[in-house]
Amino acid sequence: MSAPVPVVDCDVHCVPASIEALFPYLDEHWVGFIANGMLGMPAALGAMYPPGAATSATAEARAASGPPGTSLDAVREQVLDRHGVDVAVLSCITGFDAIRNTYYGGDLLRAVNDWQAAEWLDRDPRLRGSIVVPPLDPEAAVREIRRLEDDPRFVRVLLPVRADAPYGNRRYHAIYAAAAERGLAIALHAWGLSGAQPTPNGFSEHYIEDYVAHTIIAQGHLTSLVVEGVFQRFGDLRVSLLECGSTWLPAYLWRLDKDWKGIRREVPWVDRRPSELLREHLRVSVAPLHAPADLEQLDELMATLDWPELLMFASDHPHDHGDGAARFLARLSGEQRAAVMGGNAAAHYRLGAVVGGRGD
Amino acid sequence: MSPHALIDCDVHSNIPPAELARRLPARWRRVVEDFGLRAVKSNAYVPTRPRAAASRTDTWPPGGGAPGSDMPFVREQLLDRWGVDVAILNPIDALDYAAQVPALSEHLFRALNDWTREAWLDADPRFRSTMTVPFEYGSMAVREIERLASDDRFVSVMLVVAPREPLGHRRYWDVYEAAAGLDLPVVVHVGGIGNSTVTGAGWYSFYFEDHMAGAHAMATQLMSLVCQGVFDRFPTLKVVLEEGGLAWAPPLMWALDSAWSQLRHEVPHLDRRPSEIVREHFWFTTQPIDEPDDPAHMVTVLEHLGMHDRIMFATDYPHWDFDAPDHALPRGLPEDVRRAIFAGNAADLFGLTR
Repeated sequence: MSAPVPVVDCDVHCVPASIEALFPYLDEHWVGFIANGMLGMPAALGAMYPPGAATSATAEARAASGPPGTSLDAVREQVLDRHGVDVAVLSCITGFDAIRNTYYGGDLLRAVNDWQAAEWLDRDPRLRGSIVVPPLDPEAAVREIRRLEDDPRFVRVLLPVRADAPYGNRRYHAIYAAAAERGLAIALHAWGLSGAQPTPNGFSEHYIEDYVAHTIIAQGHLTSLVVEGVFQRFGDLRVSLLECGSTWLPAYLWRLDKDWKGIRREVPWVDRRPSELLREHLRVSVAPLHAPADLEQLDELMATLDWPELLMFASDHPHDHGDGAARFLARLSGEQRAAVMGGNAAAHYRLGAVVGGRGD
Repeated sequence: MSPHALIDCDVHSNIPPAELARRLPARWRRVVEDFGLRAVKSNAYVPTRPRAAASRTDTWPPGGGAPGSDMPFVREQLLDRWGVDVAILNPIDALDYAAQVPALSEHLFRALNDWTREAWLDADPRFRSTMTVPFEYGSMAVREIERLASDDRFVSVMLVVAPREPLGHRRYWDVYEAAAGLDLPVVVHVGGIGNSTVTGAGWYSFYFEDHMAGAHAMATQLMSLVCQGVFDRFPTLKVVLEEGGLAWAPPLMWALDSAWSQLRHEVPHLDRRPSEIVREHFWFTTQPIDEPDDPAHMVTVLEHLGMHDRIMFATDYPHWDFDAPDHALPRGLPEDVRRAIFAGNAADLFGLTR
């Protein structure tokens, strides 16, 4: 008989079934606009998770009542109970952060936070929340973080990787200061501003390109966080990377350390190898995990990095990214698996003594 | 079997302003003198590079001029010093020329190619060059490719990693058709004129980020070329990715294959796994070589890439991140693979058999 191992799911999606679901939490001014203007959930949402794309939802999630990601019962049955999850952290991706009218978008995001607390966090003690904020309006983001500071169930601030500027930029530092003050992590998540090109070279033509582009865009943000000195300035800040893949990490970190050797004179405050800084501050979700089909190659890949210290388990409910993560997790030893399934996230989000829910 | 031992696939020449001016028609010479070349890319980005011209401090020619501008000095400092059998030029000025208005762009590229021929190819038989062409304007680019086609010392056609549109876009297909028709590989080099930043998420602050992102931009162009059906339309097209590294390629291929298995009905022109298309159509140059702490990991990466016959050595002379032939490749590579990377693969691709 072994001690119960905590299971933490670091990326479970929830989304309002319709914009009307937010009305109880939204100023009447906007409710009137939405009704009169026939405004709905933003087009950006459908562009991020097209209902017909296989990646947008598992067959099981599609079979649940309502659009995928809208049902707490489905989350309980398909995620929490099934995997013996002790804590699941919600990521509420709506596309509201892509709205250029930040007065409207910012208020919608605030409503989403209140909706998230009332409709999800209040209804299941295993759930934790992400504060959603408008990256286009850092002042409003800081206000929102402070407004929720008495609710410890919010464990991180969610920022979309498609942004107007890389996340090391000084415009965001006030957000990090507010997060660090409260012990919140920052989570960079796939998708975001549909008005910003999703690739380094312009707008792409296919969804499949946008879908894979997150594995590339994420790397620019990490570089930015390192070279702008964010980790020197906010020594306590922890960064999660969600739904952007992970198997690009070895090649990326090699290049980052190499460039630091060559060009660090430009950024003298970066006083350690960047890979060390990121190992200390960064944790990465396992969904999606793009692995080679060949088992021997998978083992070789696993030998190229200290993955068990960096990765956090995620179901990414209701999304379906194939079997890469499951194949990878199956190759871990018992101790490594325990770290990835819960230990890493428990420390990263400072969840305290997470009660083991699966022990016998 | 290649008769050569060392082929350098990325050497930058740099045309002296007077050499350019005297090859331009009077009207365009005056425009260049009075207004300079314009940047399409925002000039808000100022690379705070630690080295002038991004170059090694010892590459400034003793007689004056910029690094790469003095052929005899390059011959001595690179070819003779390292025993380079063949050096393929990527004239650095080409990175900016495509940003100019069409007529000027055409004249600039033509002048550059003529200078390359006279000052380099005619002067030493070890030099080859890429064709620099006004790739943003398809019919003009095709005209320049055809003008140079009979000179087999021009061994490829040059594109940049940051053009106006992703490289899969149809505006570049005339270039691909002409290159494929002449069996000339297209080389995609870091740099360019794009309106866009290379991060995919807005403007960055540092040269460090720009340098890092060369690999990201290259990865994105690979994805664009594959996903937008370029190889479906031009099944013999060969593409060389230069100065973007290569260790990122295996994970990108896994990601693309995984995405394709779920999303393939969106891209019906992809009739097989994207990784198969990559292995059929792409080549890589080595510089800046990826450097894991444990060189064995680089050997692993090359095995996962599975393209030993598609990797070609490059120094990037005269730039600061020059890869020296005696240091660059990881320990532990089989000897025949090393030889192929140093010369055989490039000899096969570019037809350097003599």
